[in-house]
Amino acid sequence: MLKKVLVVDDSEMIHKMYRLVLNRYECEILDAMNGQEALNLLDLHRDTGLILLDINMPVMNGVQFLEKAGALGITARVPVIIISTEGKESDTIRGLQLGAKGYVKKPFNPTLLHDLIGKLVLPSPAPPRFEERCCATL
Amino acid sequence: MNGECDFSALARDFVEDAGGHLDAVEECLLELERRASGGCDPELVTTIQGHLHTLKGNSGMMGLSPVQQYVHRLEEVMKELGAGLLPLGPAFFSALYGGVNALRFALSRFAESPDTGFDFTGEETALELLRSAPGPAAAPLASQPAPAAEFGYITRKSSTLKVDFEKLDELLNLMGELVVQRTALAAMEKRLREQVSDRELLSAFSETSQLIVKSTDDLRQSIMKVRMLPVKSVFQRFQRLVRDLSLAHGKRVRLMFEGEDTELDKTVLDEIGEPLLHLIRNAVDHGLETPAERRGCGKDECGTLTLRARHESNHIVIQVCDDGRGMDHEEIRGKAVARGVLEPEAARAMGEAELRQLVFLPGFSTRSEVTETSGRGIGLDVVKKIVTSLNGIIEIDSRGGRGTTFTMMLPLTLAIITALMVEVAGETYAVPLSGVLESVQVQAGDCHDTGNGEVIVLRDRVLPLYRLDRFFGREGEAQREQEYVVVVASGDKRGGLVVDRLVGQQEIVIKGLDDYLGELPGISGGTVLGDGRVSLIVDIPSILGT
Repeated sequence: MLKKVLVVDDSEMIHKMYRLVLNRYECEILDAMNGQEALNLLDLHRDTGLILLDINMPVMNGVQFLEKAGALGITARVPVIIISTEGKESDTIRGLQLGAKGYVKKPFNPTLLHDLIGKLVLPSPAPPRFEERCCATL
Repeated sequence: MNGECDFSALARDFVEDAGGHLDAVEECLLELERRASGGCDPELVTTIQGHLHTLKGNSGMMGLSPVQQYVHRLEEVMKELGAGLLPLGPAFFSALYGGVNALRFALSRFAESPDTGFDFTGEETALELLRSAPGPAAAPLASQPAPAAEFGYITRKSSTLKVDFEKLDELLNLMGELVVQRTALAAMEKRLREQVSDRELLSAFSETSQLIVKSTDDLRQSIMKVRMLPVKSVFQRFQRLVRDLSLAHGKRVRLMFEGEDTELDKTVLDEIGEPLLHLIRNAVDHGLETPAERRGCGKDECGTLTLRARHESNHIVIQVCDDGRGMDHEEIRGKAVARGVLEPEAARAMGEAELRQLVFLPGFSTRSEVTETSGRGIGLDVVKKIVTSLNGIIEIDSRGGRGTTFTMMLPLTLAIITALMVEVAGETYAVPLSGVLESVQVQAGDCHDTGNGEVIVLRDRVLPLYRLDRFFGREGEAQREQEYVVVVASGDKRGGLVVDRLVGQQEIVIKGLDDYLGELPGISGGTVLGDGRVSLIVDIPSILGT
């Protein structure tokens, strides 16, 4: 199950919103205001299970964060979802190339985010039984 | 709203947060404008974009898409400015300031009633015009002289620090009760000393009680510290006002701050906005000259308006200081006579300092023409009224041709005061010590009835007496040989309050009285005493009729 989620965004307001959105997972939420803070927190909380990342931030932006996190092997271990206000789409594409697993445009519909989190993090439902697969092919 | 997740609980946080971003944008715009002659500072442009971007994202999350779209437009304008596609001219600033104002207004309306819609069509058109016809002659400076209501945000009161202020108030209230109980403890100690013979127990008791006294003091100081905010937050709000006013009046004004990091209790901070607003308007309208006039006197074309703050013993000193034309004392003298305020004889004998006090009279103006923003000698009587109601003092210093300085001395906090506790007709009243000059005991025979009220002569000065029992409509004690008189002052008026007994000095936490009680002449609030009884706070100005 999802134990810790790291939210990286330079707006305190957004952090408050995520607390409401992520309420259902009953997980611990770590708040970072920029990429550098995120790296520091990841070092302390190695059991972080998901990173929600904004792109446009001071000090260290989302793309720079992904570069560093990739070099440290974090992106291979922890799924990253880019959640960014429309802007430079090229940055988002660059982020996905750098190992982010998903992208949601802000403002997002929480249902969309939940779906994505479900796909990336939570254990996938048990594979359909043999008979069912057969039925499906028939 | 947003699917299954309801962010409406965050509406207040959002409005507060958005206000912060708008303030920051405005601050950068002002800086950008100040440095405009040196070209467009890319760093400031980026900072503005950052704040707009965040605001856009947050508004979108809150489901306020009209706000989101409008902020997006502003962001695009900033992008074009950064790319050099738009000139950094008056039209740009006027459109952007207009945008910030519109957002502020829309958000404050949203805070009050979240269901009202948003309409930015006017502002959006302005932005479109700016982008389609970016000529330097597109719009004159300060095209729309801001109506007074637009500056409502200057006197607005912020409701939160990092925690809701109410919680801090509650903390202080509890603290007040602790202080009161501490006083009770001291009284108990006194009685124990008289009745208990066990010395060891007594000294242990008094040691503990002293520790409690110390901890209570420390605790109170820390609580007071938490309630403090730098005065900068209020000063900062005047940048825009001064800019717009000076443009509207064809003047050039530099606004300077000194001691803006001085911390004030929030209760005081909330109250100084309005007097400052009047004083600053007054300085820009009447005090400072036009560039031509200043050049003629050999002064810098650009006038300087300085806001200063500092702590001075037990007070906060706030000054509004301009280097304008100063007050014309002869003009005041003439006007006082013409208006029948003074006899010509008395006017001639008056010194400059006394003459200056006249401008605090209602409707007294030193300039003959009326201006749109400040009217005639606007508000100086209002300013005085506010400052007096805060138990403060206001002074003016002015030199012809050199400028005028208004100095406000205010108490450190409005939440706690030291009071002289007095007994009147069996009830304990609190007289704010800030208004008490002395207390004296006089022979009943020294009180003279003039037919126009009682007076005593105290050190060659005639002092009107106010019997508090009669004032509050209570049955007082029978005539005594000796009377206790508390000599109080408010503004330049003095008077003596006749009371039954002096109880002592005490720190009290002021609690407001509910509005449903209506006007209570002579009472400004209440407090709770150690034994749980309520004591009313005597309102000195209203008793003296100032």
